[in-house]
Amino acid sequence: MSTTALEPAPRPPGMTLIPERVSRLQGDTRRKKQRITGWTREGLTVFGLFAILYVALGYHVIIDQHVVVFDATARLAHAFFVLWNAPPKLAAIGFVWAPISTLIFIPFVAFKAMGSSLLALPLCSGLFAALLMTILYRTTVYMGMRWYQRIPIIALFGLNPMILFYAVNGMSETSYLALLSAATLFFVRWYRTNEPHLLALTATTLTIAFLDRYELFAFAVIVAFAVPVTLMLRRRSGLEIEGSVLSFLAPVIYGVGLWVFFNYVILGDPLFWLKNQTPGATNGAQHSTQVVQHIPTGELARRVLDLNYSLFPLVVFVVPCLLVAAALRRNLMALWLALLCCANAVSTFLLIYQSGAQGLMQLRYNMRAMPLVIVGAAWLFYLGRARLTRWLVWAATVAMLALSLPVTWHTMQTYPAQYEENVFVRALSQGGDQEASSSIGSYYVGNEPDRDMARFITQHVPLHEDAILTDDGQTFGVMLASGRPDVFLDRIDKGDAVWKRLLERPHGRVTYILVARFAPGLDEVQRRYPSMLSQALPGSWVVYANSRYVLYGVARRRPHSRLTHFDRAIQVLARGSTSI
Amino acid sequence: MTTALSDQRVRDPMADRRPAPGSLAAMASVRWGAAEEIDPARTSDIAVAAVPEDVCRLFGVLPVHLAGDLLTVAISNPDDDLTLSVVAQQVRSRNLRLAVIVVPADLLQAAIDGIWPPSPQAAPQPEPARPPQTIPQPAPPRPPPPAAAPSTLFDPGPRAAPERSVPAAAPATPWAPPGGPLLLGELLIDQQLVSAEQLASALDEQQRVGDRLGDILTHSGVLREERLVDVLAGQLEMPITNLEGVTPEPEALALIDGHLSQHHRIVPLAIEDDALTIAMVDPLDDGAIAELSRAAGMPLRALMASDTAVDHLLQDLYAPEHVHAATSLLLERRPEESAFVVTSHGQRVAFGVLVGLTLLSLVLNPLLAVIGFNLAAGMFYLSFSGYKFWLAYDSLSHDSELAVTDEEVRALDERRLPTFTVLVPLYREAAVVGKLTGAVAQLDYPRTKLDVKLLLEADDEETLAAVQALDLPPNFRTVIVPDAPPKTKPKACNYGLLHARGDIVVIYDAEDLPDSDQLKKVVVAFSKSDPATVCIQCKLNYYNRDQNLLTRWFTTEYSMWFDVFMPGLDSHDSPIPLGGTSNHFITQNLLELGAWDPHNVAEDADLGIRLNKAGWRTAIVDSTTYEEANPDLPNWIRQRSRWVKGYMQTWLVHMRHPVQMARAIGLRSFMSFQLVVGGTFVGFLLNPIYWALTSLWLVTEAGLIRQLFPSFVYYAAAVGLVLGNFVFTYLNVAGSMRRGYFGLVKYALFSPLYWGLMSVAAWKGAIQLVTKPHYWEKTVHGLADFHPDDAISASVSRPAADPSGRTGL
Repeated sequence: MSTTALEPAPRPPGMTLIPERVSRLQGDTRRKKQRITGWTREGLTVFGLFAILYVALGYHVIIDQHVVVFDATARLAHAFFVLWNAPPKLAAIGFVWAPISTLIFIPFVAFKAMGSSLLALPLCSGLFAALLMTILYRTTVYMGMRWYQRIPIIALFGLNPMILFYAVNGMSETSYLALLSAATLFFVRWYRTNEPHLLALTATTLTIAFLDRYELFAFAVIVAFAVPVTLMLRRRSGLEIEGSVLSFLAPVIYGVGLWVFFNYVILGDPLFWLKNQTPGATNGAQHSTQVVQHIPTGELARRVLDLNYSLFPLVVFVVPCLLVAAALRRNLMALWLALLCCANAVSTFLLIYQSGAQGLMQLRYNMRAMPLVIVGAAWLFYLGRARLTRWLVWAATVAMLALSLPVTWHTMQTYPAQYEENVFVRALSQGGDQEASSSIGSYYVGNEPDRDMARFITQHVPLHEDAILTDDGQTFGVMLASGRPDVFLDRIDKGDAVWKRLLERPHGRVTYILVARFAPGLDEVQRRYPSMLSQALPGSWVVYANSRYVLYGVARRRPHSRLTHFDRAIQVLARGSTSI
Repeated sequence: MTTALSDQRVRDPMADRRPAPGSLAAMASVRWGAAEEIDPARTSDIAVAAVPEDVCRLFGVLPVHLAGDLLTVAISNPDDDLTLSVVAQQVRSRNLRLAVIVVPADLLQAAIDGIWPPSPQAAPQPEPARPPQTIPQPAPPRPPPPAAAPSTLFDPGPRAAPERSVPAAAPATPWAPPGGPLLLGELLIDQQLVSAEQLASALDEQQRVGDRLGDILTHSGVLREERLVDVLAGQLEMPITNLEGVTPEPEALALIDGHLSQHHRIVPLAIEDDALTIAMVDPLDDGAIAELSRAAGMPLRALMASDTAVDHLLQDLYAPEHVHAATSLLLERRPEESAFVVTSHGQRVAFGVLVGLTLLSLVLNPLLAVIGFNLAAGMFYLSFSGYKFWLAYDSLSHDSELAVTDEEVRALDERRLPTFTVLVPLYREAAVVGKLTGAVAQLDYPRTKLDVKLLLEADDEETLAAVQALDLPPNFRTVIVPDAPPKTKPKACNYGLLHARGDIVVIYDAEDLPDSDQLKKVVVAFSKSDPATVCIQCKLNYYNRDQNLLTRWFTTEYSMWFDVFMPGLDSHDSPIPLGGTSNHFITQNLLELGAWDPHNVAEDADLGIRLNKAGWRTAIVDSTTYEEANPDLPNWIRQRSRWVKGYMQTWLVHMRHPVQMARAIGLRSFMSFQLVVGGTFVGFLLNPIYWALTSLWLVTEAGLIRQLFPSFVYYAAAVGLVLGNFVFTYLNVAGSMRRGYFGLVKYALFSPLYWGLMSVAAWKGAIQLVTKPHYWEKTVHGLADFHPDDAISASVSRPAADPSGRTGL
């Protein structure tokens, strides 16, 4: 057979002419196979340990203690709909949130049960948080820290209560922080080596991070500015500067352009994603995060600075040190890192200044600087020439990280603009089920009403496709908990236009209507029929209701028509089970 | 040792051995050395490699340290000008500077023995007998030839080789009394064919490269080959023959196998008096004579002839056999791997069944059939994009190439370099042939070890005339490929390969400009790679990249392919479709493999796959050959359609027995082959269909198109569209950045437009695969508006020799 392996001919005599002593010097340096290096082992260990910690804690906090965050559930639900709705549609990710924050859930809902049980929440954020720790650990390795120096830093950072909360609650914070940290590490490596592929990786990860959280565009702008300045100061050619800037901007522009294009094609408005940003959650909370209030500039600046210190005190140590290092050592990277750290506070300041949205003062919107400060501290360590300097930087970093544990803990308990952080702290410190407990900002804590309504639907309602008309934007919790999004006729299924036509004439087309009672101004059904909750829509009746949802039966004919036997049967069923 | 040396220092027993004023040592950088400096454990390997062991032993020297280009050599006697002269030459030949340290002789000898432990069987080294002359004097006189030398009848047996000029430093050089026969150099000076300076320079080069003096003189253009033969014949008192118009007797030819004749560069001419008369280039090659005599079964009578004349006559005599071999080497050895037949019977049956099933499903449920097709296409795009991205990422993040350092190249011993055969296929390339000599001349490789074959087609009179008009150096040989089908480049290369003398063979196109140290890098690469590596692929790129938009796009594509993608394939031991030129093979292995498939129009890609199937490997080395990017669109379409057609041929050939192939190369390599070879043409063929569908949907939002892409198919297609296109575009950006072509980045961003052109070419190639499967779409060369070799050609053109053969002394 022609595929028989042949013996290679011996090398011609001249081919052994490299003296062995010389050829051994270099050898064949090609990487032939993926080798498990020491760093890979360490990285996998860090990842594994933190992943176990976060997922286990997340399971306890979410599944047992019911500290369920509304936004996280919403994203999970919409990722769930991408795969399991009828018909499955990528458009289910929606355009209100940045797309990546929803897309990252898709692998975790490949099994239905992982989505409907909410297990995907801690799994997703926990793994990304572990990835964040691994990237930061890699950064400390890259900056030359010894193992006994880097482990305390990573451990203290990984156990910071803010990081813990967002590592377990399923929010997208840890994913974008991981991407931002990776982009920063690539950028630092590019600065040191000038390897073009590192610039490409910086750009690509920053683009993905931007599609996970739009505010990160500010970071991309800083890097886009830093690249040509760095190259110019290194006296590189104009062509190299042009090529480098273009290769950095290409993914960023492509990412933004693509999202604009999709918004235009699907929604008809290329800037829909910008215009429809909601800074806070809307699970019925009546709190300050929804307030739009213009504050004097000085007061706003003070509040932002105070927020950054209260959240993560290390920032007030690292940023000035970076600026000093930039000035004394003429080190550009120190300046860029300081700017990146400051971009967090500056972007918050500018956004609130421009919009007055106090929701942006929430703790979670100001976490962006946390991993960057670790990178900055590592860079300071790297810059230290003397051993003593390095030790001083390390000791100060560890001390500030240790200090941040009680400071952040206290802030999470008391800070007014928050997102159930105080509930998490209470759950950790006191234990116990937090279902329907109080929270700063009056968020509803837990998801029992969702599960309750889902239970009713799956047990008492004949399940067939498109049986229940509902606004998925508010009732996704029920849809998700039921595990049967296909039985709901939602706004994603056939588009908004068809859905609204059905809402006008639901009789005979759907069997039920599900309404969220906690969101009167946001639930499209309620907006169409404002009096529905007080007096049922003609030709409909309450089948089941709980504190947050009402399920109506819908007659098969319009109100002036006679009721069919089926309608009567539904009404009988409803009378027997209505709890209000 | 250190203590002893310290004692010696105190006593300074060498105080009376300081360099005498005016000696070479006094002019060089000389100092006293410490024992530590010659400690074998501390000497630099690179430094030690700079001077051969025999020279070190003979002259009692030891290179110990190399810092930058400064080589420190330990000697024991600073007044020994001969030793210093030899060392200086060694050092100069490596473009290094010399520093000398003086150490006690016993310590030096111990250090030498420490580095090269003496063989236990070896007899004790006698006191080295120094030749009485110093370099660059001509080689010392030697004993007269044996008594039988004047006779033209050669018997097998040992004999001296007076024409070979032994380096003056060689210990074996016998000392002959004055009055013996003149040496070649002396004869040449006597006859005023070379000047003393030219001879000294040639001897210097001989010392460096270890070749024959005559060859060095002819290859350097100082002496014509015919004059050399005249002089040698006179020196050896041998008859010479002019082979022009000679027709050997068939009986004589039948006695010696053609391969043997070619190997030993002889032509059997006639049988006379029970002896075979042969024309021979090197009548002093005793081994050859013994072997030929045994083969012929009778004694030989040798006539001297020039290498060129023998070569031309052999080409004429064996042309039919060579044409047959060039055409059918692979077909006869491995018919299953030849593209002579486009599809096998099994493949035809399989395609028939596939087409039948497709038609049937289209009739029964057209929507489902199209959805199935879309699903397959979506999965293909996903895996194709993902695999290429993975390879590129891996390649960019790690050292995937076989690294060869300048230090290693400098450490090469040129005397032991293998002979390189450079095949240059030329067809209708009269316009660019003039640039060829310059490009090859700038290669940093001993000319005597460079065997350049210009492969000319017999019917290409224009190029033939252009080549004949050139005053080619003697290491350039024209090989006329007889006019026979198939008329393809691989057939010409096979024909040239049959005439190759080199241990390594490489193809360059006429307009190619390889990096000057490429051949040496390849030698280093072979020497340090594992024995299964039988091919070194160097990178290709373009010198006329800024000519127009097409050349810019072409360059970004090549930068991605050769600088990013190929090293990625190499690092995964995946089959590598080789580039068209600059792939260097171990000649013997290439022949065993059946050489290039003359029926495959992408013979390079095919050879890379066959090589992998045979269990051999290709390595990528960071050395670039600059070519001419096709600047003309119709010409580019022709070239690209041939490549795509060749990829299809290659895929079909190797998919005749897919299971066996998967077993032979492993599942991972098999999948890589599918994606790299199959994926390339499938992607180009599919692209226009899906671009059209996407555009149509964006404009019309037709429900029918939406129906063709149900959820999961839609997701795969969307990811392919959104990410796949970006990945490929960005890889071109990465390739340009990696190569340092920053100015091309902006053009790389518009690569999708370039892919449109590729699809046009792909469809042309696909149609041609059915209509004219073996037709070779000729690419016109010489369209570049710039060739960097223009300047080189002017500076390195061969010095015009006096028609009389004299050099004007």
